[in-house]
Amino acid sequence: MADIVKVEKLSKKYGKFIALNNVSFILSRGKIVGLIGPNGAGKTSLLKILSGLMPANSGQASIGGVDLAERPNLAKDKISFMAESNPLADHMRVGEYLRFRAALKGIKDVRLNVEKVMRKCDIYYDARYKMIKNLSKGYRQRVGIADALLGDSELIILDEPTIGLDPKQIILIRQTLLGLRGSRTLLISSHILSELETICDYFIIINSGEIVATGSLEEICKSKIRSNIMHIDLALNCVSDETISDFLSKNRLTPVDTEPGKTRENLRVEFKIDSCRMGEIVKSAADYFGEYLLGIGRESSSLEEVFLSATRRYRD
Amino acid sequence: MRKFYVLFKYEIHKLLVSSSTYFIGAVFMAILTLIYMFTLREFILSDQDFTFMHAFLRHCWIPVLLGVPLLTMRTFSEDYKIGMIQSIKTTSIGDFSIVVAKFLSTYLFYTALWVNSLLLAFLLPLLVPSIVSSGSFFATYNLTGGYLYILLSGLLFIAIGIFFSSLTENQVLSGSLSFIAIFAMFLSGPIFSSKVLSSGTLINHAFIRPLNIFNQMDSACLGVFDTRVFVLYVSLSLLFLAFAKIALEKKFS
Repeated sequence: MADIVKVEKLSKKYGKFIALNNVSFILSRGKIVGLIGPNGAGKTSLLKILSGLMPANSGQASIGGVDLAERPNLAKDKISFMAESNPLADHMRVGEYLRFRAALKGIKDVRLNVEKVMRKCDIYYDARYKMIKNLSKGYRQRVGIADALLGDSELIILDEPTIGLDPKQIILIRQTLLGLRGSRTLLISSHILSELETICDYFIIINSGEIVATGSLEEICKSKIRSNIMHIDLALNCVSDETISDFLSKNRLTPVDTEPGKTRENLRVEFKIDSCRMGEIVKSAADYFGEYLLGIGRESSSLEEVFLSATRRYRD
Repeated sequence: MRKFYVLFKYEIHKLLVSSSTYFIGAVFMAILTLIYMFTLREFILSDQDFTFMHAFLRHCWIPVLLGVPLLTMRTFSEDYKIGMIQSIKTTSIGDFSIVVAKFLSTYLFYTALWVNSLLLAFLLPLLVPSIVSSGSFFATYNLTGGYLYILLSGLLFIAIGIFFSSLTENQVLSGSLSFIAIFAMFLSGPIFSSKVLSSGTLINHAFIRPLNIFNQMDSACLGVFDTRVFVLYVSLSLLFLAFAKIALEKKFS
């Protein structure tokens, strides 16, 4: 079965407040999925429902073909969840806690599994005997991630996993998570969009309890970012300002900056463009500037832009 | 069952490494010792209708009233606060197993405290040999009946404490609520009994009398165990544990 998570018309209400409204999506096995959305969008409610912590009011969610509402315990065996608050048993030592968690999850080879995840999260040598209450935020976070990686859960849900980690630790965790691509499905919720952009191959953008976009970054860009940024590089001191203005106005283009950017060799003009007019603009630029046209390109959209664009309707 | 055992071990470990557990144990034993000294003094100064152990166990409600809320208030409330309950609930262990693991670990500690109090009983021959030689120290049925009753009633008191702890993450509030509930249970028997006695309804009296905790204790210390009392405590304990399970479910709905 290629799909690991199947969510159909999931809704959740807290009194009159609608946290999730008819949310539907499918996640393929082995993908790293980023769940993004502004505060109060319904991310945590969705993650809690998917981890079996909380029931939905209506709709259906299944993990690996097992319905969460009908057989929650069987479904929970397929899931690992690290909550944003990352609760840990402060009265235990790191190794002891992870062994407890592994036993509670019903993992067979507890010692081997615990040692493996401690090594993966770089807590084996310097933290395994430490009391959890004495750990720094970064170490606590890594213990939480190690807990989530225990066993062979098909779906690993991580809520803000890299919060509080230093750059070196972020790289380590990123590599660990990337190493799981293909074998496990990861659903990661984070506000660090640059981080998600690096590791995720699929995104779900949620706002006001509704899914506003799903797909790869490229797919969402196509559907959500209508006006992309394009640039043309011209030979320095060879094209007058009037020619540039004439080109922009004739093609009904809006420059990003009032003054073109200058480097030692060229002059860069950036303007917003509708993606369907790209061919027309390239042809027009070649005709206008001829041999002085050194380059032409389109700025790729970042996840941040996609996020802002996808949630604009609600913010406006 | 294996997961339940893992959780039960975790709960025991949590109790053993917590300094507050030892503080509660110390308070409990201090109260028992004071009651012991007080009973002993009364016993020496005046003639008593009961044996010494019977008189001592009649005051068991005081350490129960103070100790049980202190012991149970942390069970769920603390886990709600730090989020550990959320972490446990993401595994495939059932809600009732979580409740029972907390209940049994607390009950085990409660039992250990009372077993510890037996030391006081065995100190008596050393302190006042005259009481022991007079035969008014204790009869075996005093000790077994009284302690069995304490352990039986403890099932209900701890279940009540666990239930109130499952309602809130505020430990003080959960402790206060269980204190009030247990206190009300202790008071209700004598109040009902006196009302019924004054109204003179014998049928009601026969129904109400076994509900009076002090009467139950007296009967148990005399070696008489009413099966109705056993059924009452066990069924009410299960009822409060079921309520705790419902409260736990509601917390995550």
